[in-house]
Amino acid sequence: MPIIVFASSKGGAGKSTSACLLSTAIANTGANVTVIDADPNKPLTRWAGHAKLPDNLKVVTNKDESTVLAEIKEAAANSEFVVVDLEGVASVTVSYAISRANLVVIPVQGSHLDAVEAAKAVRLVRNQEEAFERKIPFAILFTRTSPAIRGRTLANIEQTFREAGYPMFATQLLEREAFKAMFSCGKTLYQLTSSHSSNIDKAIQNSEQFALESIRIVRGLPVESPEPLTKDQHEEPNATELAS
Amino acid sequence: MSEEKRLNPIADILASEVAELRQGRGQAKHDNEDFPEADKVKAIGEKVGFVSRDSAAAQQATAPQAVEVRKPYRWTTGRNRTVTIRASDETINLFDKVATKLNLQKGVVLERALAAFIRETGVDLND
Repeated sequence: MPIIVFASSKGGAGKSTSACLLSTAIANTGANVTVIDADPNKPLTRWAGHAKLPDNLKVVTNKDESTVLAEIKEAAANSEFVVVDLEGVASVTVSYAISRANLVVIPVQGSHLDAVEAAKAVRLVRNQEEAFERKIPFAILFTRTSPAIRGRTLANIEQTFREAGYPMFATQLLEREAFKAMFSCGKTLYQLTSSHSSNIDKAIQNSEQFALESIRIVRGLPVESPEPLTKDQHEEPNATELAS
Repeated sequence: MSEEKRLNPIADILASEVAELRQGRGQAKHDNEDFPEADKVKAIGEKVGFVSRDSAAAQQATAPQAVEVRKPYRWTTGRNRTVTIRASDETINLFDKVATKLNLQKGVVLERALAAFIRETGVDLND
């Protein structure tokens, strides 16, 4: 079954958050999902230790680089979806996971540093495609973007990626309090209530839009650009969110 | 829950797309047996800087030890020290000439010259 890998050799690009969102969104449809936490900091393992996960969502902790292929193989045999959250360094674990992927998601924040590391991941994907004559779908996912302001740096990066022919998710994961609350409260997005964070419904919608695009890429279907946000859908960041 | 879903059309579309995929429709064909071997994958990754943590650690462990740099010899007698004095060419030449003529070390010449100077001027150094 599909193996979706989150890769970027830059730490803090949003791999764990986006992997967590995708896993929970797919699991929420009733599918069986295994997440392999291959980040030595074990963010998703710690999160799973606190969260009461649904029965169809499991987090497996990667032992080391020598075991990751076996872990992916086992997870793929026992689950309908496998999501691999990789470490934020250029390691052989990343190469191994990409070699098994049906989709490589490369999260990028709107910064030059993230973009450079994303380009490294793309180079690795393309080298593997060429060497093994296997198409590996991949796409850049912009994370922690602002709902109201589109920065000049982000616009430049998007333009550069477009010129380089990098596919990009139409959906961007916005900077949202709810995404942070998942980890601080030890809950899935669907378990959060208004006492944990505001705008949970919009966070769920954002997350599911991303999940939908991912599934369509895996299925080889054309990805439709999401409708632009209408004025009332734009959320003004509230004081609490700004303070955090 | 069902009411919530109706309010969020994306959730319905996502559920339907996932269901299609679960039924094997439209899924990219792949088989574990077709995947490239680990060694080949590793070699491709290393070409673009994605290296093994193990090999990086091993390389560090087998790295040659830093060669001990010999300290420069120090020609010290344990008694004398070097003093740098700025003087005119004439004075330096005269100093050299006296040391050569008397066949004395320059330090000894300085010592005797100072003694003679003190004697001659009667300067009191205890002030």
